[in-house]
Amino acid sequence: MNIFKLKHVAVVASALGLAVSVLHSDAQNNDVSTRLATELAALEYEIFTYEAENEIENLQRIFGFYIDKNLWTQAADLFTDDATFELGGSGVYIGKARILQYLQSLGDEGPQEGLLNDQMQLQPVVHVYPDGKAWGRWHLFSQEARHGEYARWGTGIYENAYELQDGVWKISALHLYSTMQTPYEEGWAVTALPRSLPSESLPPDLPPTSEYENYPAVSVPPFHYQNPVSVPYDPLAGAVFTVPETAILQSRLAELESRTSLLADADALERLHTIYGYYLARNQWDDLAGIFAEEGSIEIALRGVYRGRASVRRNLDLYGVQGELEATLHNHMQYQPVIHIDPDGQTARMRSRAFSMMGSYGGAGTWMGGTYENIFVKRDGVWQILKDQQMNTYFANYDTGWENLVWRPAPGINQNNPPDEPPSMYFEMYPRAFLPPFHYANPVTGRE
Amino acid sequence: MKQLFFLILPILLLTSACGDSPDAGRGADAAESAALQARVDALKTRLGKIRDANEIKRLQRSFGYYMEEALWDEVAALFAEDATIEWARDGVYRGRNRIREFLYALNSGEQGLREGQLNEYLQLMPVVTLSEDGSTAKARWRAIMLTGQYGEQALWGEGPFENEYVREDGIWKISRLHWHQSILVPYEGGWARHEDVNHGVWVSDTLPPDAAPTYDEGWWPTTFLPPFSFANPVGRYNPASAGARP
Repeated sequence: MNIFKLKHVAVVASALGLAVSVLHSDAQNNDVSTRLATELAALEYEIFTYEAENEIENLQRIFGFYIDKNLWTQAADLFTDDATFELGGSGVYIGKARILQYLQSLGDEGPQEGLLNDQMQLQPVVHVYPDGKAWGRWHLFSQEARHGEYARWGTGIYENAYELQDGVWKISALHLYSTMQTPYEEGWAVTALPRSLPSESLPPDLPPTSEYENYPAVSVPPFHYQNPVSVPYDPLAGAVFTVPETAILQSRLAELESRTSLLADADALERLHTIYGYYLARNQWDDLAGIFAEEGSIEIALRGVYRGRASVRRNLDLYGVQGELEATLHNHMQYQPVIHIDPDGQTARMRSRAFSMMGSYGGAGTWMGGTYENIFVKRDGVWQILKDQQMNTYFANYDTGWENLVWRPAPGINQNNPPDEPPSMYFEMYPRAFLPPFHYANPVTGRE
Repeated sequence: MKQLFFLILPILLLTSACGDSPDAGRGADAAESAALQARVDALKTRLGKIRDANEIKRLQRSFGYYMEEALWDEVAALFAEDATIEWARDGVYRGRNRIREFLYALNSGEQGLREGQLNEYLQLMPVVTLSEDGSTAKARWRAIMLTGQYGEQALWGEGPFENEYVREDGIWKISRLHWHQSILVPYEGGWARHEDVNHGVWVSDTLPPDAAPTYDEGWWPTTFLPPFSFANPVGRYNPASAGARP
C-alpha cells in the first residue's frame, strides 16, 4: 500500500467533509459510520506498518543472498540514491553509485570459483516510524573463505535505516558494526582479527563514523530503539492517517481483510518452515512428512525428487532412523526466509538458509550450509509444503573447515531407496561456484 | 520520543437511503452498520494476533541483543514481576529480583563484558503460539552461542528455548524463560571430541536455585528433546491415509 496515496486522499477527503457535513440528515447513523471509518483508518495504518516490517525483512535478507554470491549490481540496487554504506572500519561510501564501486572492489561480479561468502542476516528487530522511515537491528553471522588461502568465522551487528520511495522500501543506510573475526583453524580464544581499514585504492567518502575495535575489545553497537518493555513501541504513535469516506467502507474493509490474511499467511509460513527445521533436527520423520501436501515433493542435495507424502516419508529414512539420536547432533537451522505470497493467498514461495551442526560424539563433526527454494500451498486453510528443495553450499569436516576443502559432488541417488524422479537440476558445492536460482526478481528494480 | 498526535479527519457524507420510507432506510442502515462493526471487530482481533507475534519476536530478539552485551538490567526489565528463568541444569529462579541475581552471577557479578570476553548469542527460529484469549503465548527458539575469553577459551554453544510470555497492561513480557543446553563444547575439537564443559551447570553451585530443574536432561553427549509447545501444524504422517507406494 502506498502511504503517499493515502495522504493525498486525506487532503481531498477533508475538503469534502467540510462541504457535506452540514447537509447530513441522519446524525445517528452518521456517527456510527464515522466511528467505523475512523477505526478502519487506524487499522489500515497498522496493517501498512506490519506489511512494511515484512517487506523490510525480505529486503535485508535479499541483500544477504545477493552479497553471498558477489551479485554487486543487484545488491547496490536495493539502496536509495543517496544511501550510506559502512562496513566495519572501512569508512562511509555515499550514494548508490559509490556503493556499487566499493562492492565491485571486493571481487569480480557473480559467483566465484573457490570463494565462500555466506553472510547470514539474522535476528531482525525492525521498527517502522510514521515519518516513512524505518530502522532495523540485525545479527550477522558469516562464513568466509578463499580456497587455499583462508577461512574465517565472523559476527557483527547491523543498525540499518530504510526508506519508502514510490511504494518500495529501500536501504537508506547500512552500518555493520563488526564484532569478531577469527581464522577457522585457530578460533576466537587464539586469534582475533582487527576490524577492517579504509581502502587505499578506493578511499571512502568519509572516515569511519564510530571509533571502536573488534573483539577482544568490548563495545556495544548503539541501539536504534529503547528497551521494548521499559519504553514500548507503539506503531500508531505519531501516525497521520486518513479516514475513508463512509460510502466506501465496505470495499475498504474487504481490502483490509484480505491484506490481514496475507500478513497471517506470512507468519504461518515462517512458522511452518521453522517447525520443519525442529522436526528435521530430531529425526521426527512422521511429523516432518506430515507437513507436506498430499502431492508434495522433497529434493535434498542431488538425491532426486521424492513425490507424494509416502515418498517424502521414505526419503527421510536416508538421514537416519526415526527418533534415534543418542550422542548425535543433527541440528538443522532454518532461517533468513524471503517470503512471497500470491495475491490469492493460496500459493507461496520462500528462499531460506540452511545451516547445520552435525556429527556424533567420538565420531566426526560436520558443518553444512545451503539454500532452500520452496513452494507452499494452502489446503483447507492450512499451509503445507508443496515443493521442498535444498541446494547445499558446502559440507565441511569440523576439524578441517573450508580452507582446503576438497571438492566433491553433493550426495546423489541412493539405489537402495531411489527417488521417483532424477534431480530436477544439477548444482555444484564449494569450492566450485553455483548460484541457486531465485524465485523472485530484485524488489527495487524488478531485474531478474 | 516523537510527539504523539492523531490527525483524524472525519468525513461526513450523505448516505443514500434506499428503503421505501425514511424509517425503513434507517433500519437497514443500522443493520448494515452493525454488520460492518462486527467485521471491523473481527479484523481487529486478527490484526492483534499479528501484532502480538511481532512484539514477542522483538522481545526475545532484544533479550538476545542485551544478553550478549551482558546488559543484565536491560535483560531483567524484559521479565514480568513473577517470572521464572531456568537455564540448562541450573534449576529455576523465581521473580525478577532473583532473575537479576542469576544474570549477574553469569558474569561474576559484573554488568557489561570484560575485556576479551565474547558472548555472541543468536536468537533464531521462532515458533510463536498465542493462547486463545491472546493474553499469554509460548514460543520455541534456538540459540547459537560463540562464547569465551581471549587467550583462554572458545566455546560453541547451542540449544532450544521453550519460553512463555504474558501481556500486562498491553505490554508483552517474558513470564518463563527456559533454555535447554544441547551442547557447550570447546572450539578445538568441537562436539565430536568433547562432552559439555560445564555439564549444564552455570551458576547453581554458588547461587542455589529456588526450585530443582524441571527435567533430568543430562548433558552432551546425552541428548534430550524438550517437549514442543506447539502441535504439528498440519498433522502427523499416517501411512494408512497417504496412498503408500509399493
